[in-house]
Amino acid sequence: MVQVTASDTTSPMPKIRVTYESGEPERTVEFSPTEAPFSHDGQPGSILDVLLGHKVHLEHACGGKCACTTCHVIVKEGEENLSEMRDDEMDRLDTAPGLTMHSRLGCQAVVKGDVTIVIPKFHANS
Amino acid sequence: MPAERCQGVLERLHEWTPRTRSLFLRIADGARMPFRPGQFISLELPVGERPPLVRPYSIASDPDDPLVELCVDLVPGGIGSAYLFTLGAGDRLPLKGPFGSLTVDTPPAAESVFVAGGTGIAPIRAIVRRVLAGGGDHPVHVLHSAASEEDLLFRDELAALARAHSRCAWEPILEGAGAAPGEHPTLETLVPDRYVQGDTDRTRHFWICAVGDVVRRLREALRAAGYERRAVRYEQW
Repeated sequence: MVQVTASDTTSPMPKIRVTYESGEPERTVEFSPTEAPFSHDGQPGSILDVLLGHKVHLEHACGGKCACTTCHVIVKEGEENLSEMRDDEMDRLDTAPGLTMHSRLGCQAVVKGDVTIVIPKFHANS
Repeated sequence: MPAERCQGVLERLHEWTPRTRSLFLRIADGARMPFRPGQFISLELPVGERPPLVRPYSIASDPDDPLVELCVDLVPGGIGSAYLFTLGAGDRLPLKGPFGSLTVDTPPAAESVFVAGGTGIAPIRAIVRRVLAGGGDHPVHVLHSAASEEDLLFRDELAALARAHSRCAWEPILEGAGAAPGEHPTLETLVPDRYVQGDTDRTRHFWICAVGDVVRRLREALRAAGYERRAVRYEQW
């Protein structure tokens, strides 16, 4: 039996493809996880940390501390390449407008392989 | 209520200790920022490698108060708080808000337990005032731990509220250096001792706000003991 381990699905230089519900042109960021953190905010190597460190804006009203939902993203591809969701993130996502089955908080989802995300158009005050 | 971007003007400050102060902001240019008690705002500070540095601060004041009060700790090595400690009356701060779900819309028909560590009392103070003003007869218990008497922010006000409302209790807990381990209760011993092992009542509602992992551990202990997930609200800074 072949056992699939986490390292089999990770990549030395993962890519985050960022698309926008607003129609803004998409961006792609390639990064080396071993160089995390890239910014001051969010879990090191998280979507928020990587994007901020590569000059791609993502709202983060609470400073990436899992206290709001302004960094809400919807994962289109590569969900399996993100860290598992913990209770803190689930509790916050409960209050996110436009919640989907593929929603994550950018500040908590640590990127281990290629992902494609959508930045929702609107954020609410939660 | 959508989040608004506006300017806060520092009108005055109050020094609780050399490391903790309250900043009182007036929202500039007649703008309004309606918020619910317990919510926070995001300050956009002109510091850091890639300014602005976004830092959230809970609002300690009530929406009806004329000024927005924030409680700021000087964090060792923290560039955001160091900057805030340089500000004086008249200085402006770009901010956005309100945000956050540590609030109360309708006080629960059950005992409310508020658990605050240090400046985590800021949103709790706002919520407790609102809960008590709303009337009712369910018990309201405020547990506040701090390093010293001086670090018990709003101690006179909370003690006065407890005197004025027979259903309200304010319980300060000093966790300062000098006490031998185990000598005094801490939030982490007292909360489970009283509300998990102490009885089988699981109808209480909790609001927890503090810095660090203690928040997560208390949340887990309470939910694992049978309290409703949504009856245990928290904010971890």
